[in-house]
Amino acid sequence: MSDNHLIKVAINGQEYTSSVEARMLLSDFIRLELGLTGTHVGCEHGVCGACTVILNGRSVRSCLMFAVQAHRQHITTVEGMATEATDLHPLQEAFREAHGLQCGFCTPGILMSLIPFLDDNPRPSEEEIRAAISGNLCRCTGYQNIVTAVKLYVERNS
Amino acid sequence: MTTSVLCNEQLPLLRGEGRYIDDIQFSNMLHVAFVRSPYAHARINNVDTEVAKRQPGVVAVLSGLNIHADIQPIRPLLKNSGFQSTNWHAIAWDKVRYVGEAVAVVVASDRYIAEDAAEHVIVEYEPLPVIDSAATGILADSTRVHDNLNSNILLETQSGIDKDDAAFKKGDIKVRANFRHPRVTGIPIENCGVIADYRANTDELVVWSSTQIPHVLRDALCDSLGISAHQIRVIAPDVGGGFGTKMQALPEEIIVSHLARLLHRPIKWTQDRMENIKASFHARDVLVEAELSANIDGTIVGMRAKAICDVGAYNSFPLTAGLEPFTIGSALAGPYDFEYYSYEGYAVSTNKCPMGAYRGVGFVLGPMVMEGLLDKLSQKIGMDPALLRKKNLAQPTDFPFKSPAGPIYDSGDYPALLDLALEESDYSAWRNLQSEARNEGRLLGIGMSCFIEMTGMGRDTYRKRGMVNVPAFDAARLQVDRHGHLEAFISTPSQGQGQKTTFAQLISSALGAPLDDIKVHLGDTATTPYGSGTFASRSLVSGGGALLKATEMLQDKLVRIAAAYWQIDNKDLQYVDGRISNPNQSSEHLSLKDLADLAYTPFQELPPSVEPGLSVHVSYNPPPAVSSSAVHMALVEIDKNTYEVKIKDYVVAEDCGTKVNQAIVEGQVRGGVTQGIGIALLEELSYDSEGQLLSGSLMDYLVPGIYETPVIKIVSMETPSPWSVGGFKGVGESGTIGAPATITNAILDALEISAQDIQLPLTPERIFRLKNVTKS
Repeated sequence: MSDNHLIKVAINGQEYTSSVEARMLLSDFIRLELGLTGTHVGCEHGVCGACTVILNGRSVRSCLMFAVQAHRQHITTVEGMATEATDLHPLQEAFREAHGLQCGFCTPGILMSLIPFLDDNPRPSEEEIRAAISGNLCRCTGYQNIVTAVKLYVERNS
Repeated sequence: MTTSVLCNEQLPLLRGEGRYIDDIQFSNMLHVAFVRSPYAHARINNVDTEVAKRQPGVVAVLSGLNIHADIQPIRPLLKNSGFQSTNWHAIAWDKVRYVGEAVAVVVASDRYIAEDAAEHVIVEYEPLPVIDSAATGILADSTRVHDNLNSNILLETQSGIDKDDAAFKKGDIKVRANFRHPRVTGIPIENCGVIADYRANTDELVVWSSTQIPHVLRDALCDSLGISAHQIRVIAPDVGGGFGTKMQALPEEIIVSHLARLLHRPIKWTQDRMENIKASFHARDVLVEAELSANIDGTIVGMRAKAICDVGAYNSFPLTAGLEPFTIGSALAGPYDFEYYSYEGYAVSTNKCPMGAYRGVGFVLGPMVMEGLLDKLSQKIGMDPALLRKKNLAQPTDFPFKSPAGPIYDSGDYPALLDLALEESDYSAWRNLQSEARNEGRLLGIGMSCFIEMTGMGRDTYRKRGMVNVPAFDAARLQVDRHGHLEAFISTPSQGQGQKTTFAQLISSALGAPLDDIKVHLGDTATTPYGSGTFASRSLVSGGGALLKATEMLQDKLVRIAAAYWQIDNKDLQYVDGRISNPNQSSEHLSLKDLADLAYTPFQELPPSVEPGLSVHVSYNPPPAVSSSAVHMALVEIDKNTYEVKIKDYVVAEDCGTKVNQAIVEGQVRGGVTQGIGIALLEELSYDSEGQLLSGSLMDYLVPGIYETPVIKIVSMETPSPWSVGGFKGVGESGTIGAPATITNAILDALEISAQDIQLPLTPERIFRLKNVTKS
C-alpha cells in the first residue's frame, strides 16, 4: 500500500532528498525524518502555532501541510535562525533578555511567526506586534514579555 | 538577591535544541496508539484484536483482558473516614467509565501505522446509564459509577464550629450566591508523553516522562507493575508546561512501561491534543453555595458554604478526589478575620474524565466566592468595596493568624497590599472613568479581589488530609568537585519555571561562587534525591529550602576542613564571600577551590570527624504552609452590542516573601493571570447528558491568545516568611487564583448587578443573560 513520493526540500540552506508517504505531515517530516526537533507539535489542528516554520519567506503551520507539498520549496526552521550553531539571532537574544519564554515549547513557532513579519515591517507598532503573534498560543508568559522582547529587538535594529 | 539573572536554561530552548519527550528517538523504538471508549459508561463484552494484529508493521495489540491481571489498578490512598477508593485499570477490561478511557493499545513500527491499526480493533460495548453531573451522582438513589461503592461520593469532608448556626444568625445581614467553576484543563502547549526502555543488562526500566513528579511517579509505577523502585529510573527531560495537569500518574505511563518490559524494545507514546483534552486530567468543575453573615457596618460575622465537586470517574494518583473539596475548605475565608465558619465539601464521581490538579487547586474558589459575596454585601449596605475589604482584612499584628477556615497563616500585610493596588490602579480615577462611561451608556466595571495562597505545604498538611501518597518533603544534594565547581541535585523539576536559574542564584549567593561554576540537575530519579516534585507552588519553598540548608551544611564542613588545616578552633572561622580567612594570619585564606582540594586530595590529613570529599544531602520538611498574598484589580468594558469583554487595565499587587528572581516571579504572575482570564471568560469542558465531550479541540476549548490578554501591571511587597527557610513563599499559582474573581466582579460591576448564580466562563451569551434576566 506504499504511496511514496520522492521530494527535494531545502531546509536552512541545506538540500534534503527523501522518499515520503503522501500522508506524512510536513511537521513530522521535519522532526522525524530530518531530526530537526526544534519545530514542535502542539495541536495538529492548526490552532496553537507551535509548529510554525517559514516556507518561501512566509510563516506556515507545518502540521497543516503534507511533506510532499514542500517539494522544491525553501524552508527555514528555528535551527536556521542564528548564523552559528552556538550563537543567538538578535531576536532570540531579545527574547532571553526580556524573559520572553518560560517552558520554551511555543517559542520556536513564535520566532518563526515573527521573522517574516519583522522582515516586512522592521518598525512595527505594539498593535502590529500583537497582531503578528495572535496566531500563536503561549500558556506560560501571558505574552507581555514576548511583546517586550520584540520591541527590544526593533529598538536595537533601528 | 532580587535580581533578574538571565536564565541559562533558555539558551537551548531558544535555539530549538530543547529535548522534550517527543524529541527523544531510539533507532529500534516502537510507537503506540490507544483505542479509546466512545461511551461514557458501558460494559465491555468483547475486544477483537485479530484484524488489527494482522496489519503490516503492527507488533502487538493488547486489550484490558490481556493485561489487567499483570498490572495493579491505580488506587491512591486517602486516610480519611469520608473517603472511598476506586480501582482504575490502566486499560479498562470490564467496564468503561468515561469517554476516552483506554480499552486497547496497539504497538507498531510508527505512530501512523499504530493509529491505522487501532481503527481495526473491534470493541463490543453494552451502554449503561450515564451519571452526567455531580448533581445527579450525589443523589442517594443514583446509578453508581462503581458498583462496589456505597454511593458516588468519593470524599465527604466537614469543618467548622457551632453546628446550630447560632453565631452565624447573629449577623444583621445575609448575602448568598452560587458560584460555578467550569470543568477546565491546563493545556500545556506540550502534550503529555512517555518513553519506556527496559535495559536487561542492568535490570532497569528507564522511563522518560513529561511528569512534574518523577519520584512519586516511580512510586506509582512500582505499585502498578509490582517491581522495586531500584528497578525503575524516571527522567523528566525538558517539559513544555505542566500547571498541575502533569502531576498525576497517567494510565499511559503504566501501559508504556509494561510494554517495554514485555517487548524489550523502547516504546513511545506522545499524547495528541484530542487525547490531552478528552482523556488527560480535568480540573475543578465545582459548585459552591455560600452565604455570608455580616453586620450593618460591614463587619463579617461568618460564612457557611457547601462545595460539590464533579471529580469524574476515578481517584487520581497521588492526590485523590479529595484535592478540591479539602483545599476549597481551607481557602474560602481568604485573608479575612471573622468568627464563624462552617463548610462541607463533596467529591462526587461521574462518568467524566478523572479530576486532577490544575494551577490554583481549591484556592481559585476562595476569592471567587468570598469576593463575590463581599461585592454583594457592599452593594447591600452601600459601602465602597475597597473600604469593606479593608474593614475585614486580618491586620499585620495578627500573625501568626488563625484563619476562621482553620489554617494558620505565617505573615503578610494585607491592608498595605490593598493600598498598593489601589494606588497603582488609581482606583478613584477608575471610579471617575466609570461614572463618565455610565453617563454615556457604556458598561464599564471595576473588580477587585484580595486573597491568599497556601504554598509549599509540608507533611503536617498532607497528613491531616490523609494524602499519604504525597511524601510532602523535598531534598537537595550539593557537591563541590575537586576544582571547586558546584553541582546541585534537587527533587523539584522544572516545567519551565526557571528553577535551574533560581537554584543557582541561591547557591551563588550563599557560597559566593560565580554562576558559571554552578550546575543544577533536576528531574532524574537516578541522580536527584527523593522528594515530592513540583506542584502546589512548592519548588522554591521546599526544594529551595532544602538547598539552602545544604549550603549551610556545606559551609559547616568547609569550616571544619579549614580548622583542621590551620589547626585552630572551628569557632574562630567563618565562610564569607567564597572563602575562609585565617584569624591569626590576615593575609591567609582558603578559597572554595583550595578547600575542595583539601577535601579530595590525600596530601592533607583530615581529622577523623571530617569525611573526605565535599557532598551533602538534606531532606527538608517545609512548614504546614506559608501564605503568599495578593490583590488584583481590573477595569473592564463590556461591549453593549456584542457583550464581548475587554480588559482595559489589570493590576496585581503581590507579596510572595523573599524573592530570588524578579523576572521569574513576574513571569509566573502574568502567566497565571492569563490562565485565570481563560477561566473567567473562555475555557469550559462541556459534556452532554450522554457524557460526550463537546469541546474536544482548541477550536472549541478556547485558551487566551494575545488579544484576550491585557498588559498586566505588577507591584510587589516582600514580607519574608518567618517559618520557611529563606523566608520564601510560593508564587506559582497566585495569578490564576485571583483573576477569575477579579474579572467576574468587574463584569458584575459593569452590569450593576451582584452575584446570584454565577457560572464561569462569562461568555457573551452568559453576560447577555445576566444583564437581561438577573436585572428584572
